Amino acid sequence: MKPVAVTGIGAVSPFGTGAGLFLEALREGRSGLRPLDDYPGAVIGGRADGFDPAGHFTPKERSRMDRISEMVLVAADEAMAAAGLDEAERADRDGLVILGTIIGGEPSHETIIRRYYTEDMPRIHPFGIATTMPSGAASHVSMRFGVTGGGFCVSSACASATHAIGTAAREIALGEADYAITGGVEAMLTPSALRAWEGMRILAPDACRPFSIDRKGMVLSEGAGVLVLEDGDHARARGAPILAWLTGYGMSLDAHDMFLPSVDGIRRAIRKALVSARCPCERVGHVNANGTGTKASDAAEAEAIRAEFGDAPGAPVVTSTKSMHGHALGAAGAFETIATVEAVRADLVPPTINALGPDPDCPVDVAFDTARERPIEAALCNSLAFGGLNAVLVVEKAAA
Amino acid sequence: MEISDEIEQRLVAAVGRAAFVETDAVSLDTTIEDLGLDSADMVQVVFEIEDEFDISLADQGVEGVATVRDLVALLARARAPSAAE
Repeated sequence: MKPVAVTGIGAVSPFGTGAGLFLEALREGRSGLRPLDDYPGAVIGGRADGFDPAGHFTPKERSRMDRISEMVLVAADEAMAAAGLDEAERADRDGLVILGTIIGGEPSHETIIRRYYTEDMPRIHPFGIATTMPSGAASHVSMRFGVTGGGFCVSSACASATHAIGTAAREIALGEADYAITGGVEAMLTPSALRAWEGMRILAPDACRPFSIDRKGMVLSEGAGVLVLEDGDHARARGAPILAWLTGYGMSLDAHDMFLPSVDGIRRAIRKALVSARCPCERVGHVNANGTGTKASDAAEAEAIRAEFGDAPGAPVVTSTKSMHGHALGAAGAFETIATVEAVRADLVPPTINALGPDPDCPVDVAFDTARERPIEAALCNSLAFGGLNAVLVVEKAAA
Repeated sequence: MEISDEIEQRLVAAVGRAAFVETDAVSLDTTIEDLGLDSADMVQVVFEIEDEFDISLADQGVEGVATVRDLVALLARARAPSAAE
């Protein structure tokens, strides 16, 4: 794949509004996960409490958008400003909007459902469908920035944002667009959705401990992560800041089980991404793992990484930033791609916190507890979804 | 059917909510144009009124609405005994 430049990042996360806050917390190994006070269940989570939509949008604007659109627009504003892609720069350029989300406007959907089942003759707000539909997020971003080249939302469970970013990169690499606003968003911390997640018995009661012994499962969070991707020549010609290069994208299907991961499926996605990037294994210094903190998924992912890269001293250092920002579902791949871009830029692997000790079933070198410095020429960002939908990106260092 | 002042005030307040303007800024003579409402906004206005009065406004009636007073007339028609049959 022709390398694609990452020229801007933006985030709304459990750490607040701004990619800077997000990356600082990751560097320092801070968790954004805490008890959900307004939810009667026994789970913890990462709500984007620091995000104040009323500070960004008028009441009228808010009546037409779900929380997902509010979060993704603010993240997109930040990413576009960072990239310097203002109106003049965008003129006569083909742009795309490709975003990932698992379920779309769940808060709006829950409002509809609650009203329908609790009132005798319910009237549903006229914008109920437009705010609920997942693609609403992409539409709002296109309208905000006047992006006309094409777009949609991708839904592939926990790999949604990674598929979105990979698809956007490939479109640019194929010459279909000059730039893309891409990433992912989710706002699924609603009472009914949390209850449904609890029903799966895979949520950790206290902390997310990826690759650790006695890990108990995942911790959910919400937010939006946005990246601006650009054709390399386009980015250079306008002197844009190039944070890193997105050089490869691979995907696979396990075709195996709705819940149990497949080592072979994960490995095929990694292999395809490396081939797409023409990147030899020795170049890969770091893997931002899917690392949900569930027993089976972490073990399978570690086994796949070990099988691909071996265990020599130069093998990539693995981390799961989900231990800090939680599993942001449709935004997960965007949060983690942003973390990977920063790791490659700074030669610093962010830590995997909360470990109680290494698990022999996860035979990879994990950056437990504290960030680890090491030269990183290339890194992988893995996303593995329920139902066996895997997506892997290759991120490489930009010349200083 | 006669529309009381109280009902007029509730309608004006509903229009204000749907248009995202202060109730003071809305009177019976305020036009839809004054409020800057497009067709999607008008759907929201109808929703607010229907919700406030637990009533259904005739779809065909909304087309010709130019002022808040026209909305009062629409409400009066919907509340008339014949409309309930």
